[in-house]
Amino acid sequence: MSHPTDFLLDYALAELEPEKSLELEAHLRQCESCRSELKALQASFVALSESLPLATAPAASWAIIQERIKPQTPSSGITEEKIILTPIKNRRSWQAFALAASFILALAGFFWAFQTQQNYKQVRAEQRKVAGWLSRPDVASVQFLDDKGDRLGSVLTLSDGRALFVLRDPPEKGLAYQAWGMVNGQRTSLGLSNRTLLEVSYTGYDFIGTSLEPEGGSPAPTHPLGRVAIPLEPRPAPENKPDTPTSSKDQTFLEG
Amino acid sequence: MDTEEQLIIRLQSGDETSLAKLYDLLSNQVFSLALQILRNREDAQEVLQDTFVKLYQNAERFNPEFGSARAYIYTIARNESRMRLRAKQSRPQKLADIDLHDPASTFEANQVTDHDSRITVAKALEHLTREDQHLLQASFFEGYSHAELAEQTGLPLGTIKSKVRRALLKLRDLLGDV
Ligand SMILES: [Zn+2]
Repeated sequence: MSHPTDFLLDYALAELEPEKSLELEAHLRQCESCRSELKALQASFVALSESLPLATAPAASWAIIQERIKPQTPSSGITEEKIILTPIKNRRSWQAFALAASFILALAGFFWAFQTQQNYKQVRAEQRKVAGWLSRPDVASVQFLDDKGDRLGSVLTLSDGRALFVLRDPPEKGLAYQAWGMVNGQRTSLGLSNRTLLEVSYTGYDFIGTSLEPEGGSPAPTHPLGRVAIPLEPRPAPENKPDTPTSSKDQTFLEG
Repeated sequence: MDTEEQLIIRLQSGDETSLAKLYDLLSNQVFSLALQILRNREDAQEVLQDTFVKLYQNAERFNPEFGSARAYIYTIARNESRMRLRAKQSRPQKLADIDLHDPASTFEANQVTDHDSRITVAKALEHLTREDQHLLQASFFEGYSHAELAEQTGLPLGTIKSKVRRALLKLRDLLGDV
C-alpha cells in the first residue's frame, strides 16, 4: 500500500481541498500507520501552538462573537434594545462592553445588507476601528441624538483628544457628514465623511457636532444634525439601568 | 464533562453553549497564537473573533473520526492569521524582547498549558537541527506558507512539506506520549 504521507500534513493543517480530504479519509479508515502519523502531526502542532507565551484574550471578544453568530436580517438588525449605549467611562464593566459591541455590530449587520461586495473590506475596517476604540481603557461613549431625540448613532472619545462619530446610516449619495467644533460662539469645520465614521479632534472645543452637507462640505452648517458637550459626561447610574442619553435638543449653536 | 471533541460535535447540532465552553477553554491559546503570528493586539483580537465565528459556522467540517478539536481550532486560527498577514501585505517586525523558546521567559500559568509543558517543548526543540527549528518557527509562528518557504529556500515544495512533516514527527517523538 502506498501511503499519501505528504497529504497528511496538509490534512492536519486543514489545507487540503475537500475532495482530496475525502480520498485521504478513505485511506485513513484502512491504514493504521497513517492514522497514527496523523495523530502525531496533530499532537505536535498542538504542542507547538501551546508552547507560546500565554496572553489573555481581550474581555470584549466573547460579546462580539456572540453578536456575530446571531442571525441578522436587515429589518431586525437594529432594535431599541440593542441601541442603548451607556457611557462607559469609569464603568468599564463587561455589560457595558457587551452593549457597546452589540450596538456596533447590529449596525454593521444592518449596513452589510446594503453594501456591495467591494465595500466589504471598508465595512470590516470600520468595524475594526470601532472595536479598537471600544477596547481602549480610556474610551467614553454617549448616544448621539437629533433634536427630536431620534438616534443618529454614537460618539466615542479617547483621552488623547480624538472623537469618533459612529453614525447609523451613511449619507445619501451626493451628501456628506460634516463635523464642527464649537467654542465661544465660534464654529470650525473639523472634517467630512461620506461614510458612517467621522473622526475628529475635539481639543479646545466645548461642543462637537455634525451636519449634513453637499459632498464638498459647506462653510457653515446647512442641515445640523446634533451635537454633544465635551468632555462627554458619563453620569453615574445604578447598575443595569441605562444612563440618560447626552445630547443637545438645542441646535441654535450649530445653526448660529 | 464533555471532551473538546464532544463539544464540537454538539456544536454541529447548533448547541451554542458548547461554543462558550470551547471559548473558555481555548480563547487565551487562540489569542496567543494569533498574537505571535501577527504581533498586533488589534489584529489578534480580530482573528480570535473570526476563529470562533468560523468554528461555529464550519463546525460540520470537523470530522471526529480523525480530528483533534484543538488541532482543528488552532488550524483555523493559524489560517485566519495568515490571511490577515497576506491582506496587510507586510510582516510585522519581530519583537526583540520575546524569545519564543527561552524557558527563562516569563510565562503566565493557566489551566490549559502549564509552565512545565512549555519548557518540555522548548527543550525538545533544542534537539532538532537548526534547519528544522527554523522551518517550524517560520511555518507555525511566523505564518509562512509552505510555498513561501519553498521560494525562500529554493527547495521544491514537496521537499519543504516532507521536511516540515518530519520535523513535526521528530518533535512528537522527543515529547513522548504526553
Ligand atoms: Zn497509509
